[in-house]
Amino acid sequence: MITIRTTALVFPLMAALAFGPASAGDIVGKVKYAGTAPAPAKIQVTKDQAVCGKVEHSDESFLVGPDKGVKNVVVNIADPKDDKKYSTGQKPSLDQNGCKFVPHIDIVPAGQEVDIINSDGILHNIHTFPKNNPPFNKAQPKFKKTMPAVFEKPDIVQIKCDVHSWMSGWIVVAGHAYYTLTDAAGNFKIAGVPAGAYTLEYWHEKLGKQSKQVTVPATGSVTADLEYPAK
Amino acid sequence: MPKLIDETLRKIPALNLLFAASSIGLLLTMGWMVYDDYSRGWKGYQKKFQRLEAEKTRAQIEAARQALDKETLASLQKQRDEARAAAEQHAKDLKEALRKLQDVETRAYRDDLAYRTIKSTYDAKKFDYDEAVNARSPKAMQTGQEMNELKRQLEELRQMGLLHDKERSETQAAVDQINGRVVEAQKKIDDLEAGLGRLQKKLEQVAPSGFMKVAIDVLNAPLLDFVAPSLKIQQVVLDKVPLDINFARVPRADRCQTCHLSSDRAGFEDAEQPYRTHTKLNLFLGGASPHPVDKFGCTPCHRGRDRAVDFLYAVHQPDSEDQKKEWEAKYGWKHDHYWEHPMLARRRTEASCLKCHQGVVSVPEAEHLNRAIELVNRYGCYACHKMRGFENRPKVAPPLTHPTAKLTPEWMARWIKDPKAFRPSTRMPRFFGLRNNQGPGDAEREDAEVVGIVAYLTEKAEKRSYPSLPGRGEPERGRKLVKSIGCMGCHAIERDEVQAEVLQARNSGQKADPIAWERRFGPDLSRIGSKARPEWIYQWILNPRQYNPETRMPSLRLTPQEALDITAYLTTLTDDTPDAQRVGDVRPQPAARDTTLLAYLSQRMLPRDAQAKLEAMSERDKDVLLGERTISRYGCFGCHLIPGFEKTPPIGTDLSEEGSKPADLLLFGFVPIEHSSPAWFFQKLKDPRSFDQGHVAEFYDRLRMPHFGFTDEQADAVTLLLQGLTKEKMPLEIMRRLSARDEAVEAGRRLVRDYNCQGCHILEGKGGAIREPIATNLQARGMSEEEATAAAVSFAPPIIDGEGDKVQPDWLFAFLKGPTPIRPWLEVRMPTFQLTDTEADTLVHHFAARDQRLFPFQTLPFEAPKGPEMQAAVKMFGPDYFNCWNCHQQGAKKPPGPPEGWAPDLTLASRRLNADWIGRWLSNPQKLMPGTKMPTFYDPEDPKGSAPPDVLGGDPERQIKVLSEYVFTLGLRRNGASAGATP
Repeated sequence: MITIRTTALVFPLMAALAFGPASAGDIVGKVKYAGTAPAPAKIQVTKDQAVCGKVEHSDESFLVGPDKGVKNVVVNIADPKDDKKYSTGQKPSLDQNGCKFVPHIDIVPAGQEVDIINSDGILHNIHTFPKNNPPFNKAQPKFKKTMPAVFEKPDIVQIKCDVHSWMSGWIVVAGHAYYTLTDAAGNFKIAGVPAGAYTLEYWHEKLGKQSKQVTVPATGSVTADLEYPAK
Repeated sequence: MPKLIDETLRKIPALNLLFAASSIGLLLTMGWMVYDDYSRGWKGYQKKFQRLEAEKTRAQIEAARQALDKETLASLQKQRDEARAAAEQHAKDLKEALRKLQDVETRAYRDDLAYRTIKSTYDAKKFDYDEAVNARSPKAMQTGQEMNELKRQLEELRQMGLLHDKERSETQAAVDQINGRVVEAQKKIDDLEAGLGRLQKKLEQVAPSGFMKVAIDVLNAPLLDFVAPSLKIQQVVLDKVPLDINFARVPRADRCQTCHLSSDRAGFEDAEQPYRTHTKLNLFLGGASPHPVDKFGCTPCHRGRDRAVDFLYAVHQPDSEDQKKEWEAKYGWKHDHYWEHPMLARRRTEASCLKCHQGVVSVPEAEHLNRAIELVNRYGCYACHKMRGFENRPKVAPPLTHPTAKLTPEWMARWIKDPKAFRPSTRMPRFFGLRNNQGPGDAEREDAEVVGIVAYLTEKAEKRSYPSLPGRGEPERGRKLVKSIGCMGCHAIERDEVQAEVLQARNSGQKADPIAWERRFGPDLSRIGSKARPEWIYQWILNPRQYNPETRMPSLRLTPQEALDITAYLTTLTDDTPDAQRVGDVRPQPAARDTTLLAYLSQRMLPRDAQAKLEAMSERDKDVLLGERTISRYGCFGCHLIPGFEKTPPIGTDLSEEGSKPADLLLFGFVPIEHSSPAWFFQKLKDPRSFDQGHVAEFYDRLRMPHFGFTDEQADAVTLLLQGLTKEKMPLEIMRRLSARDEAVEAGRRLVRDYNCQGCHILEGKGGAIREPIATNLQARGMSEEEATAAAVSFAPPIIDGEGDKVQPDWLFAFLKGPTPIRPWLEVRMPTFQLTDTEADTLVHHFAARDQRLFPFQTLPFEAPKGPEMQAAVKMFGPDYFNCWNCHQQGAKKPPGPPEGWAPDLTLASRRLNADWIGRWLSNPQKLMPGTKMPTFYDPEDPKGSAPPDVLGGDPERQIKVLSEYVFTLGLRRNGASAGATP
């Protein structure tokens, strides 16, 4: 019995040693905003009160935490050294729930089908404003619970709903695995990055795109503290 | 006296030597002659091309080999070999079968021949018999018997033939059974290698080897090459586009393709010259193109010497300074002034389009030429110069019949002296302070002239003034209006929009104008408050035509309060130039004025009398008189309507045939430029007074053309156009002729240009300049730059390509005459252009003709859906399906939410839309209007999958048809008998 158990342990271990990344580290950090962010505006729900009015609506486009950490900043490396695909372990999806795009910023892998879900059961439409992909504006009436969409090229695509003009979200099409989003405190972590020097890009819908050089160690992590100047 | 014999007269050995030497000399000369005659530059190009083509073919063969599916080929070959081996085992049977087949073939052939022979005899006999019977001849009986005998034989042979066919197919089947698989495999192999085979055959032609090569070399050898050389001059004779050689029109013989061997063949796009494929093969040279080489040749467009087969002799023209240097080094190129039609520089080839494409707003795909036409129209070159194709154009500048209602005399003086000092982007050129008036006393005289012009204009002005403003405006509200309701489609406020450094760079000519061309249609408003009186602004924006009945400025249907707000805002836009930097101030110069007037008057009378006349005049009269003479000299009335000059003809040279003018008729003076007409045009446009340099002339004899401040790009474009204005006459059959439909399209294009529709709308792929300021507005409301640029599409005036397909002619006519809001989410307003009926009709016809719609009358189907179809339509309109009323207006009933989320009133459809268009719109709105807010309900790639499955059997076509009918009849139902069915 003991032999069997040992083998069961040793095999994965050997596999990890043989095939796992020879040396990889993490990029961790925090994105801050030097200025004072405006208080998020409250959004007036002007249509379909019965469904849209169920939840509170406020402007999600510029959220800064108490210690100046910026939420919803997309952080990614610009020049990956391998071709690993972005994955969260689930099929990528975007929901329209309470007349909001959930999540507000949705990172999806390039070339993979994304399920666009209409949880509200009223007419919505997905109007995309891409830069590298073909634009579309598709209606999603009640009878269409999910609708597939594919974004072939890496891009940052704004999505809007023309029926409910306040609805705005973003689909970030990731060309590789090393993408992440900051949390409410502005913290982020990109795990398992092969060691080496990289350009780290960070993008925010109101503050724009910036970049910074980082060097990832073979083990452990590098800390990249990023800051947007006051506008 | 000794007897004269040969020996005494000539030394024979010396003569022998002389004869020997001269015969050798003659032989060498002949050899040299033959060589010189044989060795031509173009042969070198042809030989080089053969190598190039061979190389290319080899590369293609190699590529074809690479592309060949090796695995398939190998397996096929294996199949064939196996089949062959199998066939060999039955070799004896095969031999027997083949022999039998041959035997059958032989017999069949023999019998067939016999059948045909007998058939003809039988036909002849039949004729004889008919004749005999008809003539009641006694021979009829016998002929009849002979005929019947022949018929019997024929029948026998026919049956034999059928038998042979049967036998043959049986034997063939036996052969195929043994041999078939070999043949089948071989055929597949041949198919696979067919492309390769073709290429190899081509290579054999392009680069012959062995005996063929020797034969061709012999045919190309000196002295033998008169028979059938492969290297020969390629010529196309063009009698439809003759060459005009003073008093005679001779056919062109274009030999360009002697060296430009592959100009009409695709595949040489990257080859070096002279072998490169024509860059627009779909338009030129190709047999299927509108300008095939055998009809249009090369020199009718490119110019140059048609018969030349030598680089220099063809009069090639370099396209840039770098190319010129390169050619000088490589070919010893120099400007050839002996040929009157040198080739056009490559970038100006489009000049030739004008020969045949006349009377059109733009020539398709001729980007540089169209730019030039735009410039000439915008800057009004035709106002002073007669130019073919620009006849009967309106005056480009405002009338000066009552300027004092709008302007102050101080501002007028400053403006006239140096317009660009006040408004750098203005089209008004500068007349004063230029390089040929820099001598002693010139500055004072010019100031006196400016003062004189102002005096003349104010003296002659119709006295008109406006009442004071009826109230107070709010500048901030005015600013918002100006930026949003549509003013920015034609005007810019560059000071607000562009950084000062960029404007500075533009002013000094280092950068192109940062503002879109369409938005330069009207003047820049950055300093309008320092120019126009507020009372004038107020009246002008309310109704521009009351001040200038000819103006293109439309009315935006402002309310008096809106007009007050806008006036208040515009008056805040003043000249902020510090006084120290301000140029253009004018001081009266009485002494200079008097001397100048005296000079003018003395041209026609004795100086003593002139002096006396002058002394009798008042100061004001002197100013006015000098103004009149100056206006007359500079021809201001070409662009402006000026009292007293209404009928005066313009002063510029007639440019209608300027492109044919030989360079030696142009005065180059002492300006060190190439002595060619394009170089002269360019210099004239960039620095119009420069040719006076070094000459002594009285002020009234000096050059008068004003300075427009053209950039190099603009001057180059106008040069192109001037080169195109030639005296060549093309035969009618060659000219581009417009059909009635084309003419309707073209007439509309003229209005589209003259009213600047493309300032706001995208039309024929161009325009929509207002999107940029709209994006700026959206940014000001908190959107990021990228969000705003994307969203501006939805908030901009619609794309109106396809408008003829979309709307009914009478609706469009009424809309153009008196626009009513269609899109409630737009802040920008469709202006009222005060079009005449003819103009509105022309535009409607334009759109109808572009979309090949009927004009002006058509039958409208208005059958409403019935029964279950009606229920289906109502269901699809409902909240669980397309929820149409959530955005679309329904007559007086408005959708929920703010107007920016609304969509057009569907009850208008029956009066506004073409019924069939509704279906096309529902099928794919993004295709008809990219960026529209209307979502796509039926995925064009999967209409069935995206249609509601439980309506009308889920059939998208039926659904769309029913929806179209329902939408189209909405308004009719409301007004019709069944009123009340909808709210």
